[in-house]
Amino acid sequence: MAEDKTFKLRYVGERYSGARLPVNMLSDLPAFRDLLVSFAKDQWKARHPDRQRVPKGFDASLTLDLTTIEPGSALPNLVWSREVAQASLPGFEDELAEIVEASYSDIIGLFEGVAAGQDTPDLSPDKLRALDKFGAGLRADEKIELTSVTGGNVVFLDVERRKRLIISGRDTYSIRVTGIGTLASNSMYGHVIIRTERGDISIPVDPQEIIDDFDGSLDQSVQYDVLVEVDHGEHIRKVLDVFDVGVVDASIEAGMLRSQERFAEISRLQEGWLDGIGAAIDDAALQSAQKFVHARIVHAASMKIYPNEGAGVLIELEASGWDMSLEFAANGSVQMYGIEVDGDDELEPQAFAYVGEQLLAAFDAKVRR
Amino acid sequence: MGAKLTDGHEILFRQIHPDLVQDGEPSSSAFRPKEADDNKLSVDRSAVTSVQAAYRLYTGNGYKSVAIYGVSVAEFGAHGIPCEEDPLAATELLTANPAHAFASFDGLGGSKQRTLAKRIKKVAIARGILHPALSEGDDDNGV
Repeated sequence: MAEDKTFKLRYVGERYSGARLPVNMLSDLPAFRDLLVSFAKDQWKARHPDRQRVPKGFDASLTLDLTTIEPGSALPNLVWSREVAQASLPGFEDELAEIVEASYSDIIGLFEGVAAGQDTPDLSPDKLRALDKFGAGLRADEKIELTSVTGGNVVFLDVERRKRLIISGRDTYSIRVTGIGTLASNSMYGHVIIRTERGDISIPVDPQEIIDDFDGSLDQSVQYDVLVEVDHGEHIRKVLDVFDVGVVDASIEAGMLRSQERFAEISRLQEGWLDGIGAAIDDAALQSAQKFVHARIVHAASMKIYPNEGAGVLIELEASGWDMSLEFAANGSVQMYGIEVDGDDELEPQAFAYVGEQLLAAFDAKVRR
Repeated sequence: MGAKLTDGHEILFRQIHPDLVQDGEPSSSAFRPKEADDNKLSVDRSAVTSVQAAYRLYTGNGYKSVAIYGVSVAEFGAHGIPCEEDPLAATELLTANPAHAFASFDGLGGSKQRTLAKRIKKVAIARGILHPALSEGDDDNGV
């Protein structure tokens, strides 16, 4: 007799360490289920060529439950329940178990195909719709791994593969983008235009919010976090969802500009800048330090930025009662340490391979945002 | 090896390189030995020279300094850092520095040196810049 089926999606990336799944990625789970259902419909029709449609209760019989998130990056376990299937479509539970398993294999096959550079098969609109949601929040250095039912092959979906899959069947695809741009214009009719590296983005904003928060802020920095539809050329066609948009505090902006100037200053240091010793600052150290400043921009105004003799960068700041130091080495790795300003407590140096969630979490544990 | 410095009140001068200062604040790395310093932080003794003379000698020898901060022998000692005299003889290129001494970070690992340097920096900043905040005409020890 068929049992419940468990599908494990393994999210790989630093922000998923310790079985953490950011809530903004949860929308992947219904999208995965929609993809599975779409393949299941194909399977059903293939098994029943005499039938044009799936039976009533078919969709409900393919419910997936999130039962746990296992460690090992983050592994949400999605369980197809035989019992639920039995209640929704009595008498078909054995066949549905086979269909669910075969549909999952179809998804694996689809991802394997794109991994191998094969031409993508024609995908139905409902599959493209599901794919356009599944993994939309992935970042460039992240992926979602799926293991075949037999436990053998592991195949993954990343930003690039996802894009190839979707644009094979449509002109655009969705991705989530975050950053800081400049307020180019605002309209009382309900949108602001943010000038960004990707071009201008027109973001819908409530007219009252425009009056309260954006009026009189032209040319000021604006932070944004939006789901957008982009074309093959990565041009933004439209904004699909807005998670955050707001004018950056002027003091934060000043801190950001000040740090940019300081980085430019120390990047010009020549070999031997420290009275004959001191290597020129390495690009990897600069980029790593800049990434940190950007990630904790709220503290930029209080950060002091110095060159380090070994081609690195040292950032120091006092906040929340701690005097913190972060040393960015020539290979981009980071060492963080600190002392309590009015006490004897100390944070012994901790090493991080790069600026990522682990470093930021450790920093936040000492310095409130 | 030079004699240990025992007068806890004696101030030791630390020269600060201009690139290690931002908005008037020195980096903590300016208060720990550099990699080539063999765990010894170079300082000049206020019992032997003045801040002005120390500054002139240092920059005259071709080194850059934008400020001199002071830390007492006792303040170094409170953090487990002993200080020793270390007069430097003249060389072909450098003028002699009889006031030279060092604060020894020997036996302290790189990690400990880093956090201690932050403590030493705080002590130095609390005392304030000793030179060039002082007028050039004031040629006593100024401490």
